[in-house]
Amino acid sequence: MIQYYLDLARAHAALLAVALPFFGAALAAVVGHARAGWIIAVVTELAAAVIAADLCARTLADSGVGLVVAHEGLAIDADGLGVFALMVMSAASVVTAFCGLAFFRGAERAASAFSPSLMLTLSGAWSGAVLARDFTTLFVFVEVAWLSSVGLTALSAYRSRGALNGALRMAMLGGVAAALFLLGLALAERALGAATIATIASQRIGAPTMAAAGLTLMLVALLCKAGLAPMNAWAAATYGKANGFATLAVGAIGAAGAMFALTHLATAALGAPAIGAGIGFSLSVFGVASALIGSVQAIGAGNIWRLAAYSAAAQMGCVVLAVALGSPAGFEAALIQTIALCASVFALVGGAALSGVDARMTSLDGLGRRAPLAGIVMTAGALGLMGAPLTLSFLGRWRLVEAALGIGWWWVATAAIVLSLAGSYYGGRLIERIYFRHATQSLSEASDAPRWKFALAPALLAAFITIASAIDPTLLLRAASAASQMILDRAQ
Amino acid sequence: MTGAGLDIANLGAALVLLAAAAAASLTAKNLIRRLIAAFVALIGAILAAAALHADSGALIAGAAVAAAYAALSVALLVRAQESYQSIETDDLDAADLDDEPAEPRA
Repeated sequence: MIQYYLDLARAHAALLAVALPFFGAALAAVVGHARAGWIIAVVTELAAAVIAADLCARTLADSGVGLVVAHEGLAIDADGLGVFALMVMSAASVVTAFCGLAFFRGAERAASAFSPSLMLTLSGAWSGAVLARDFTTLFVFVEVAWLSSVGLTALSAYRSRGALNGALRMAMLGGVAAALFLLGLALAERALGAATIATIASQRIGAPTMAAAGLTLMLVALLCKAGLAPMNAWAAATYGKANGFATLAVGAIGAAGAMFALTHLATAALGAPAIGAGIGFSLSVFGVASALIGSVQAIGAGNIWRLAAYSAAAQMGCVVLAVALGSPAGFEAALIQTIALCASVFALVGGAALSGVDARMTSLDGLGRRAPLAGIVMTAGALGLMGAPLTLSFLGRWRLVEAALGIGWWWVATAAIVLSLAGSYYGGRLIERIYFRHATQSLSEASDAPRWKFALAPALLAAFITIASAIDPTLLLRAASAASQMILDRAQ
Repeated sequence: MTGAGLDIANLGAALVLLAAAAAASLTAKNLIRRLIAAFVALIGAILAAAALHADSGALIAGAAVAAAYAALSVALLVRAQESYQSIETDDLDAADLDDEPAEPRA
């Protein structure tokens, strides 16, 4: 009997991994109690992560051969990229949900009660987006995720009213991006004669220009929601003014979700002979622009959170460049870099919350002596942003350079190297302050909730381990490689 | 005018509406204007999708998303007016700058 239900659950694993967070979100919203909402968020995300890990292991271990996956009423499909992304986002969501407790002390009742619910909605919706089978499903999931991100950011207004400004920017830019997405969806559907993502490459495209324009508009909307420069006017306000919980949800789960959803759509489009080259070129232009503009903005950033937001835009530019290459090595580099970005955000936000660092650069001065643990984690985050050797980010860049040279795109390799040099400057600024300066002020006693600091431990540990996993990346590389190969098999 | 001609005219008008509204949403100084413009851009996109004979599911989803943006935006506007006593973007940005903790002088 139990075995029957287990098999049934495994056959519907993708649906369960998407639906569980929504179920938890509804429950947390109905309960409306901060502590109970936190427990619901942790339990549902943990269950979703276990299901996603099992699905990912089964799918990638045998490259999907013999995998029993039911077709759901909801238009989702579990392909290699989808299950890989699902596992990464579920893991990030568990860690975010767990450390939520450390950020709610002193929050308004509504904020602490409803934030877990919105975080669960955001996580479930981005999970659905990476598994979406057609354009409309992708659109709905992306917009649900974005609207919950706006709500989550706005709930941080108890901490700083600037969070409202960030949320308003998100609503305004997100509205325009949604309009572009809808237009692109209609153009692509009209030109392709179908709305199924997986079959784009195998279709005979009657109006390639219209199809390319439609798909590019959808990709631009996703780029805006990921926070790529120059469409990142919302990012600095959100990262800097929202509380740590919203920053983690939007900056790690949201950015990773948008990047994976973009990879999901782009890989299908890049495989189509009639439009692949044009879309690859457009993506590479957006990638280079974001990497360069983000790096320049990060170099000139006056506070820590702006620096984090802009350097994330630069990193995401590299991810988009890797996707644009359209090769298995490029997809692999994109997946690794997305995980590295997620880990860097966790390290910086978690380290800051642990040590009481605020937005000022001077608050980092002498942190290595005042709070050694937080100093180590934030240094790992900064090294990740730089793409320093022995970090996961370096591995991702290395794979990007290899993949770019492999297909003769030397200018992409050059851009990645220049970006790493820029990263050394702004990441180096953080490390120099942490270890080579004396404190000029007393710390604002580490989050005024020392009791709940333990809740940050999983986030800090996960971030550190992920960033340092480049020392022996065999398992991660094997999983990313299997996922990339399955993407390519699907496109052919 | 034939059906195809009407579709093209509808599409053209919807695209003009979308482009003008998107530009206004990105450049207006007043938050109400910005958010109304974003809403109008979404309406333009729905009309364009209808002119392109998009799937009815996509049109309904577009309308639902537009309504959700409108509701959320109005709530945010009210909170912004309460917190900042203004809905001009310049005032909000200036107030945020003032709120930021200053770096101590060396």
